[in-house]
Amino acid sequence: MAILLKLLSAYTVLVALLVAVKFFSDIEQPEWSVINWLMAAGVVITLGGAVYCKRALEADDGEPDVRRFLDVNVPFYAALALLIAFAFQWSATLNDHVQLTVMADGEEMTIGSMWAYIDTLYIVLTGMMGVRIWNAAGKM
Amino acid sequence: MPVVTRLLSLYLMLVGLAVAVHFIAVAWYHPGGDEPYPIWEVLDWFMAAAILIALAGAFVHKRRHDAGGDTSVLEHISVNSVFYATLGVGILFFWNWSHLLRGTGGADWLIWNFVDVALPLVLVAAGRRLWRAQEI
Repeated sequence: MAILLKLLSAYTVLVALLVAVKFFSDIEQPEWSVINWLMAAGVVITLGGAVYCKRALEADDGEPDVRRFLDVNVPFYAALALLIAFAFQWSATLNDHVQLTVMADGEEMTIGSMWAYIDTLYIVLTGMMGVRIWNAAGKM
Repeated sequence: MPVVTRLLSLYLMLVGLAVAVHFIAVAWYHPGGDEPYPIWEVLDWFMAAAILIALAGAFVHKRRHDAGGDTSVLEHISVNSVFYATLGVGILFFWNWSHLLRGTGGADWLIWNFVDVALPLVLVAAGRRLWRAQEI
């Protein structure tokens, strides 16, 4: 179990790093169409970890301290938001669903995309959850 | 009364789920652009009712908490987070929706996207809180 968790956490952190590199330096390969599939798995792993922590917190008797309460609840709701936003934007990309376009400098540009927000949240949240899962696996 | 409260909390969670599922699904069947969104037009009314119910529930909880002298920091954070998050998302929703209903063209797609991501979280949190409280 510990090895599986370490593999999942390593995957999550590595994909977060890949997204960060692609996001900032816009390297040619791999393309976003490939990275999105890797990100989808990272979102699911992150949400799974967040749900597990939330259930463990609520199963405990007595009131947890503030730090643990925030440590569990903030990533949980952030992971839910990431799942919804990522699933929508990825679906829109796969189906060429464009909400709004404008003409700028003679070129049609899509506005209303949430990718910049999603990528930022992805890097922070999945990277953090990956490190947490790694540390939890180390204590098993 | 507990039955009514549970029904209301179920309603909140179901609307939250419906918003999240439809938000993701819309790209699969809708061409986008300026085409009308008939399902959103219906769902908006359910969302408006859910926001008002969630806001009323969160307001009552907040008043009780403020008046009760409960010193629990966690309860304080929890009650206020749900109340102010519902209020914030509600303001953005009604502002954008009123533009849509009046046809003034001021509705902002990014705000719709934000509302459609945040509202399920707010409604699930408010619904769970209402379910546990079992009373308004």
